[in-house]
Amino acid sequence: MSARFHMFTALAVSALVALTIILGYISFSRMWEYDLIIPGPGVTEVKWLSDYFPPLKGTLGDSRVFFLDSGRPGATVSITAGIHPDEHATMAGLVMVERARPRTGRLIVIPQCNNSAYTHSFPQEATPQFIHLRDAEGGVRKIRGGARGTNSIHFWPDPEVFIHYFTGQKLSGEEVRNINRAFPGRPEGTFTERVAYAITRMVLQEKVDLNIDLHEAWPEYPFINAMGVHEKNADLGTIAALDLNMQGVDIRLEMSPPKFRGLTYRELGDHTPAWTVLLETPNPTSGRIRGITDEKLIIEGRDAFYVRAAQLGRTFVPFDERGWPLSVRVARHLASLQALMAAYTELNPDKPISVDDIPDYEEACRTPVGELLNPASQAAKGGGL
Amino acid sequence: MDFAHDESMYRTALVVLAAMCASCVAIGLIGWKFKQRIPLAFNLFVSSAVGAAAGGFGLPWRHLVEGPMFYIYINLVIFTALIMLQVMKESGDLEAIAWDILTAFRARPVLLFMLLLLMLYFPGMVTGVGAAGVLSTGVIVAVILQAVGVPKLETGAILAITTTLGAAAPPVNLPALIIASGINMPFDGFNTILTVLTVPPGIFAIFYLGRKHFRALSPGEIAALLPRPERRFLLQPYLPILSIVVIFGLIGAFPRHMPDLVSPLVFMIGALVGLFTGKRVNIFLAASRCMSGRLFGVVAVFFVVGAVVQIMTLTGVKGLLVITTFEISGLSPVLLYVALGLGIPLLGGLITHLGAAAVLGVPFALAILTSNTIVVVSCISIFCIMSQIVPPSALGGFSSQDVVKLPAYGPIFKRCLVPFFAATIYALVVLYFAKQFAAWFVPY
Repeated sequence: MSARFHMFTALAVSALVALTIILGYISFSRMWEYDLIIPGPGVTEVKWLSDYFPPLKGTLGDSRVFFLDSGRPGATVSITAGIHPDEHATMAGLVMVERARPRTGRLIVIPQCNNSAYTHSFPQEATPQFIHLRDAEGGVRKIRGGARGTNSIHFWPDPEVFIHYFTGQKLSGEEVRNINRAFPGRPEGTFTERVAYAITRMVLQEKVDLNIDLHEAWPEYPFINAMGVHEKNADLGTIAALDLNMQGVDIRLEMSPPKFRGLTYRELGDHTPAWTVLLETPNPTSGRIRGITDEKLIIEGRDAFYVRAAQLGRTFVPFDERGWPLSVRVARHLASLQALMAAYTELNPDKPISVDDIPDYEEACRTPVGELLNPASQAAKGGGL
Repeated sequence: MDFAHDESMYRTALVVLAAMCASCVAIGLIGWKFKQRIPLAFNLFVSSAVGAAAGGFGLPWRHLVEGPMFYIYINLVIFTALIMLQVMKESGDLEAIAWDILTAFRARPVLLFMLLLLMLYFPGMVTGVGAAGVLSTGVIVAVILQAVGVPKLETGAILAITTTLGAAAPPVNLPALIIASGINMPFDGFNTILTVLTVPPGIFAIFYLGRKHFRALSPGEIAALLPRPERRFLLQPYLPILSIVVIFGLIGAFPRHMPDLVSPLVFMIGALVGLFTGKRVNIFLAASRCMSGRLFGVVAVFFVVGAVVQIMTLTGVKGLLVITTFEISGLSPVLLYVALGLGIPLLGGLITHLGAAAVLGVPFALAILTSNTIVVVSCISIFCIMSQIVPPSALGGFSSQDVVKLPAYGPIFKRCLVPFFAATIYALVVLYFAKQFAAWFVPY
């Protein structure tokens, strides 16, 4: 090979790399923009996580905190959604912001807790960058697909082994970017630990009585269609789970394992006065057995490979041709939120919490999620954030 | 294109898989026809794109670029470990260490082999990547083994199999970490059982392959083979390795007080220390030299495997492989063990041990959770780790071939087969008797 040939090859490769970088920047920088949120009639105030931990201001770790105050005395309940953005049914948090109207007490919703995790997609998972939901007026609500952990541009490289600072628990290195292994967080910690710290500060400063954390799990994972509770509020879980099962929403109750550290319902339960709960629904998009990975899988939740896996006894939830549509998964979360608030009120009659305008389970199952959100056209009228 | 997620998904995934395989073979044949050695990385990358296009996914450039990002860090670990070793080589430290070992243990094969085994295990133990061991301490060990009479072929096989097992030894076992993370369990309580799983097969491998060839060297033969090292004090050539051992030790012992400097930085510190322990070395030229040759190919394969896995995930091929494995293993318990012991390493040969851990390791671990979880995850990590010697990726294997300078990897792979099956069968036995092993070797 001549030197001229090598020179040509080097130039061609350099040009290709430059083109890839430019295209990559264009593609991924679109995910750095915050999603449109159109607050509903119940929203009385909007803050940011940086209001609780100022160093987050101006970073993509900052995220919106919505207050829905009834003006009547009662409990303060916080909902942490989007801890893992690729668990798409946590959009139930968004539905609460855009629809809910508290009758008593106060609701605080962080619909996209780990905003940094919304700004990228995880290599090798092939998940869509955006999800397009048709709203009631035929418009489109575009939501970022996101990844499980914080964006690598905010923390890199991961250690080989992630050690939870407070307990010394060891986990896979990539878990250093998983905010649900970083609680209670540290002001001087990693990017992810600082976001967790801001959320912990919010729970403490706002004197939250009950925190409900929304999640999803892959169908082959045992902790699924489940409600995990801190041992100090086991009664709350028992009452809510009974209520849900009576409504026909099959849900299991589990205690938070004391040795599994860094999770919201373990650490917020241990380090704040709040009662804590974690909810899981099944999401085939995050499982290893799934087939084609696209928006359709996220929204319709149907997958022939999972149907077969269920027949072979490899899943922990029933999985038939109907799959687990996003609307059903969101409906489960909405029903669980209502049941938990009702149970809290039952156990603490002096601190009631109740919310109106949330569709019941059957209605939410029937309604496409985009139609549960406010129409995109309202943003043009100045209604969006 | 709007894809159905019903039974037609089987057809789509099969079309993609068939197109990928056909493209791989066709590119190989084109290279053979024109007498050009087409790099494996290039072949896999193009074949992934061809497979996606054949399945109706167009040219998914985002996925082709995004997938490889997963391996940036591992490649950085390999690069920096190699830079440190190249500095040690050029400064004369490696020859000095080899001289010390040969002089001290020239007539004591058992002690010599055990020491060499420890040297081969160490880099994999701290980085989780077997190739790091081959390309670092493996260079010294290869010199020593060949000096005591072990042929190149057996030397290459020893390097490949023992560094592979070393990558599974505690404290850092990347497949176990990935699987544990995938099933939401902490990586605690693994050290003893991983030691039990990795040390006996390693001892077997090095003695099986090397012992019969051993011949004691006379001091004169050693002097003829290696120059007597010049040094100011005994530990001088060991300082780079000692420095990284100390740093890794401090990070492990005091995680709350010692910041995790991460492996690449630790290796670069070792390289900087190496600049002051022997002959004058230009670190930039040393870095440049270690990038040339086999290493570049290893790194390229690592990157491209990321693209292959992402395309397989996008198109449903990954799911098809998992469900097929479940179908086969569901036929009988024997087939389950065969799928574990052979299916995982074979898949790992294509998508590396990390890919195998993510794709098959997690579902298998969940499928047999009825036994002790720590033992189950540890055993599955062994099946994943063994894929480091399985072609076409064979990251540890190809690196060993490069170190012993043999023209082909095939003969080395054949020599590895007995220790490979010994380690695999041993892990299967441990898995079968998981509860009994857990009672002895798992703290809870």
